This record gives sequence, C-alpha cells and structure tokens, in this order.
Amino acid sequence: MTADAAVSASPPALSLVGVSKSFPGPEKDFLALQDIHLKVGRGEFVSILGPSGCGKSTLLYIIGGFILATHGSIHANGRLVDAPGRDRGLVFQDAALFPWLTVRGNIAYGLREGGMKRGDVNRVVHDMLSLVHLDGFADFYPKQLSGGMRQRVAIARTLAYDPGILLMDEPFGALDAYTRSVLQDELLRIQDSHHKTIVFVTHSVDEAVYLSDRVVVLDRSPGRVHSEVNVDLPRPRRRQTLLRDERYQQHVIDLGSVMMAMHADA
Amino acid sequence: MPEAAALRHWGGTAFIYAATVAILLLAWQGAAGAVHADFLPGPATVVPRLLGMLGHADVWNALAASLRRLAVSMALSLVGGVSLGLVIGRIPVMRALIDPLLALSYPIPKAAVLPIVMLWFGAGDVSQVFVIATTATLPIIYHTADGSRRLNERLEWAAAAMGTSPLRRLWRVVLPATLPEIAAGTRTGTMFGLIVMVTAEMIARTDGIGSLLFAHFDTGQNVSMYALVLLLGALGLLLDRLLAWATRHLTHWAIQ
Amino acid sequence: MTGELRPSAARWLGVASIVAVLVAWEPACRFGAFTPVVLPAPSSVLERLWFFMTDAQLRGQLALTLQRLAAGLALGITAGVVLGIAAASFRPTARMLEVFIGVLAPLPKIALYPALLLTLGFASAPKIALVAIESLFPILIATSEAVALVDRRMLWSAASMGTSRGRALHRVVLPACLPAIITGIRIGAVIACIVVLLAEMVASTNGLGYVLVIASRNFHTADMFVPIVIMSLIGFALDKLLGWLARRTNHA
Repeated sequence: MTADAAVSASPPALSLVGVSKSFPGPEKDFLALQDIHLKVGRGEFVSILGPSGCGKSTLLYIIGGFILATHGSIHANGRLVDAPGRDRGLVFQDAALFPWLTVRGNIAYGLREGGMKRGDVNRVVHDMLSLVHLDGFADFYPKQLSGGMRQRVAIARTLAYDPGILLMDEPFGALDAYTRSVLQDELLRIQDSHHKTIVFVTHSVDEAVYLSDRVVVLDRSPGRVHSEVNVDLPRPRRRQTLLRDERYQQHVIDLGSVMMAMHADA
Repeated sequence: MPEAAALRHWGGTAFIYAATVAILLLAWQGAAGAVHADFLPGPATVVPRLLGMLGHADVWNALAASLRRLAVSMALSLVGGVSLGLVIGRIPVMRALIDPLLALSYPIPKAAVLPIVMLWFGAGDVSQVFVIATTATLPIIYHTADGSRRLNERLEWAAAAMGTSPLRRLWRVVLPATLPEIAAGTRTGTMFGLIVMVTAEMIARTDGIGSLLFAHFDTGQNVSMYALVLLLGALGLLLDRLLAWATRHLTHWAIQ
Repeated sequence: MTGELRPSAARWLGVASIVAVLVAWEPACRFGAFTPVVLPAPSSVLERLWFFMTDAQLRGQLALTLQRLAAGLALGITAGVVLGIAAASFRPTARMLEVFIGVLAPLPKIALYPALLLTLGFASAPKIALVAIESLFPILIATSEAVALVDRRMLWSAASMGTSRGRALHRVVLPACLPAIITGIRIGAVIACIVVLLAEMVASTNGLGYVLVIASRNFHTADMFVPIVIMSLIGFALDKLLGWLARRTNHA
C-alpha cells in the first residue's frame, strides 16, 4: 500500500457494512451470512478463506450484485451495489465460458457489450491472448480446451473489458496441483502489472497466503468474520523464494491451525 | 493412420447399411411371394413403378402440397414452441400455470381432433396445418422449456456482469445455450409432424401424398400405393438425416 | 436469477389454470359465443360421456378398442424388448439393429395401414398390427440404447461369479435396463392409444374411432369429443402409471 495517504480521502474500492443473508427454508429461514463488515482498498488483493458451507461464495455473489443481501449495504467505489455492473468482473470456478463462442468470441463479448469498435476489439483480444499465453487458440471452442486453458480464457475475458474490481470464486479449485500453481503465478504476474482490486474466494490456506495482501477467515453456520490476517510479504512474489520465507511458512501454519480448529467444531 | 481407420470405419458402416437394407428388401420380396401378389407386391415390382410414377406430375404435385403443408406447420411450431418454451422455462409462475395444461394435452390424439377442427376451418390447409402444428409444437415446447430452465446460471451471471440487460440476455445467452435442446425438439417435432401430416391427409382427403396414397388404395392400384409408401419412407429418412446433419452443424460446440 | 416457486404454490396454480380454462369455456358456449355444432360446452360433453358409459352397445365399442389396444401394445412390447435385448447384446447385430432403426423409424407407419388392410383384412388384425408397429419403435430404441449403456463391469462381475452369457441377459442386463425400457413403453403406450383411434377412424365399422366418424358425419360435435376424451384419459393414466413404475424400478 504505497499511496495510502492519497487514497484515504477517496472511498475504498469495496465497503461492506453489516451484510447479512438468510435464505427462506421450509420450517425457518437459514442464516447464511451474519453481520459482515469489510473494506477493501484500491489495488488490494483480499482472500476470503473458509471451510465449505461458510457462505464465502454467497458473499462474493452479493458483492457481484447477483444475490441481494437481506440486511446491510455494499458500496463499490462509493456507489451502492444493487445489481451486477461492469465495474465488478467475475471469474467462476467452472470458468462459465459461453460454449457456443470461440475463445476470441468469449473474450470479445464484454468488449462488444461495452460498445467497442471491431478493430479495437481485435487488438484487445490479441493482447489478452498473449497475456494469458494462449496465442494461437483464438478459434478454438471451449470444449476443445483443458480445464486450465478454460480458466485462462475466463480470466482474459474478464480482464479484457477492464473492470476495476475482480471477484474470483475458487477459480483454480477444480484444477490439478501443477496447473493450479502455474495459474497462481500467472495471476501474481498479472496483478503486478494491472493492479486490480481482487476479492478471491478459496478454501486453500497456501493459496490464500501466497496470493493475498490480506486474508479474511470466515466461520460457518452462520458465516461470519472469524479473523483477519495481514500478509506482510513483499511483491513481486516468486514461488521459489516465498516458499522458503519463514513469514510465509508461519502464516500458513497459523491459518492452517485456525482452519483445523473450525473443522473440529463442525 | 487415422485416415485409414476412418476409411475402414466408413467402409464398415456402408457394408452394414447395405446388408441391412438388402435383408429388409429380401424379407419384403419373400413375404410378397408368400402372400397374394396383388395384395403385397414385392420390391421388384414396386421400385420400377415408383421410378415410373416420378415421371408424372401428380406425384410431384402431391409431394409439393405435402411438403408445403409440413413446412408451414414447422415454421409455426418453431416460432410458437420456442417462444412458449422460453416463457415456461424462464418464468416459474407461467410454468406452474401452463405445465398441467400441456401434460393434459400430451395424450390427446391430435389427428383425431381433425374432424372437429374441420368444422371450424373447413377441410383445407388451415385445418390440416392446425393439427400438424399443434402436434409438432409440443416436443419443441418441452425441450426448449427444459433446456432454458436447466441452463447454467453462471453463464447468465457472466453476461450480466459484462453489462448485458435481462432482455438482451434472452437473445445472447439463453437462446444460444438452449439451441441443442431446441434442435432435438425440432427433430422429434418434425417426425411427429410428418406422421400427423400423412394421417391428416388420409382423413381430410384433399391433396398431398397421404391423400393420393388412399386414392390408389380405393381404386385398387395396389402397386402404385406401395410405391407411395416407399416414397414416404424415403422422405422420412431424408428429413431425419437432414435434421441430424443440421443439428450437428449448428451445435457442434456442444457435442462432446 | 429466477426464483423457483414453492411446490404447493405451483400445484395450486396448476389446478387454478385448468379450472380457469373450463370456467371460461362453459359460459362462452352457454351464452352463444359458439354454437353447439362448432364447440359444445364441457357440461354437454360430460353429459354425452355419461350417456355413452351407461349405454351397453357403446360400452361394447369401447371394449373392442381396448382389446385392440391391449393386443397391439402387448405385441409391440414383447417384440421391442426381446429384439432390443437380443440384438443389442452382440456387436454385429447391434450395428444392424442401429441401421434397421435408422431406416425404418422415420417412416410414418400410418402409411403402412392400407397395406395392412390389404394383407390382413378389415377386422381387428390390421389395427392390432399398426398399434404393434407404432409402439415397437420407441420401445426398441429405448431398450437397445439402454443395453448399450449397461456397465461392462457388471457383466464382468457376473461372469466372474459364474453366470453364463445367456443367463446374464436376464439376470443382469434386463434388470439394469428396466427403467429405460419402461420409459420406452411409456412413450409407446401413449402413441398406441392415439394410433388405435386413428386406425379405427380411417377404416373400420366398429370401435371408438368409428363412433367418432359417425358423430362427425352427423355433426354431433359433443359426441365427437367423447371418444377423444376417453382415449386421452386412458393415455394420460397409462403415462402416469408407467412414469411411476419407471421411478419405482430406478435404483440408480
């Protein structure tokens, strides 16, 4: 956070005040999220870490504007969130590419919806493909790609139309261990050059510590903020040096025992 | 060598096709020998007759009348079926209201309603198109409703996040995502439509292949009648293959 | 983003829409929007239905149609299941069956009816044959597709426990395919209900289809509805019954 003083006057990228969510049940309502307060600074990478069923994805969808909170309010760049908007881009675990469009068509979708001219669209698509190392795959359909490649396209599709905030819902959760670490490194590299505000949902302690500036731990039933940890590791981060860093290891161990304790309660 | 394997596969398929068709023709010829030849002429008699009939205008006129009827019905079914299917698939209240009515109308013998419909619209094209289209619409509604309902919600969210309005999403997301189901419904619907077309023409007796077929039956021109059965079989096969090809072509992105 | 209704609410809306159609239909006819010849009121159709069911001669017509339906459907089911399991269990015959279905399924079988009349006469036999042929294909297709999808490992397990290949057809393949077969029968049964009526309409001197044709010649529109309502109800009941049976037998 290099420009803290300058930023403090303008509103934070995201601000959640007293957010709760309950779903109607057959007998009584189910409380999924309870009184969540969260501020995310501009350019900050925040992970939401929690066991399955803690409502972390629901929280992300509420920030996205797809689900409405029962109580509380969400502001993005000072504006009240009550619907999806182009200021908040989403990356889903299953990539959710449009299967009837090629890679090019998928990346161009958001650009065309924003009214960009065809020539500019082609240029941005080209840039995005090289950013995610998929040059040459422009005319492939999603079914022809591996899971990791699909996730790269999903990231490129969202980065292409340049939303200030990225909301990522366990984007690497369905990938094999090797592909996952490659994509984690690419995300770090993209973050170093693009400085997006990122809210990243995960259940992996290593991943949260490796990628984030701050980790917010959610407890479950109902989902509420358990604790917050600042990850004071320098950027740019390199896997080989970071894994040997004692501070990294200590964070992983500490957060790991918090997660173990929560699982034991359940 | 994938080419050689593909060629062998093609060769095998062609052989099986030829063998099966040959067995069917032989069985027909054999049955013809067992039954009185006037009542069941064999393919050796029927095929040349069909080729001869194709030189005359009345078969082509009947075929044109039938195909026009089917084409108009299918166009109406497609527009009506997809619209109604989307309404049912996307709006839960409409689904609750319309689904039970559809479930009740499913077992109604639509072609048997033709005599009643003829009281309303006469014996001509309007009545026949009415029963053909109502029959063909049902599978299109079912498939469209089912497909648009089971659509991956994330696709819609992704589009919404990129600024696509709900109405525009219907066109840019829901419709393309449902296309494989719509194609399947259209294929089933067309086959139902073909059956009801023949039946309706047999009952209404105005024009078309079904009507001509029964005209030959009534006047005892049995060989010509069998020739038309063969023609209808070829028509059904051709339509089915055509729709299968179109489905593959339009929804290649969905086929694993 | 579309919320689902609660099941009870959906059920009530469904009942409401059916009632609404009947409620709108009745006065529209009572107060002269349609003449009885064009569209009779539901109450007069119901009246004729009651008369029909209390008349011994007309009940006989219904019985005749039901006999043809049952005989045709029984033939179609037997042929479809036996042929489907036998042919689909061996690779060469499975390919031939595929082609056989591919060539003959798209033929509008009703076109064969005149040929059946010529070869089988004008009594019940051609109607039974047409019902059998029409119901055969959905059952055959469902059966052969289900057989092709049977998990090979189940057959290997059975073989390793000493079940012979022929015996496995009836001990393993048949039970594994039963839900799919019943679903095929379900489609075939509804088609059979429709076809038996049509066959009787096109050429017959008795049965429900004939009753419909006679009513049509005399412009007794309410009487035309009676056979259609009866066959629709039978089709509806068979559809529900077989749907329930398919769910009961599906343990997956």
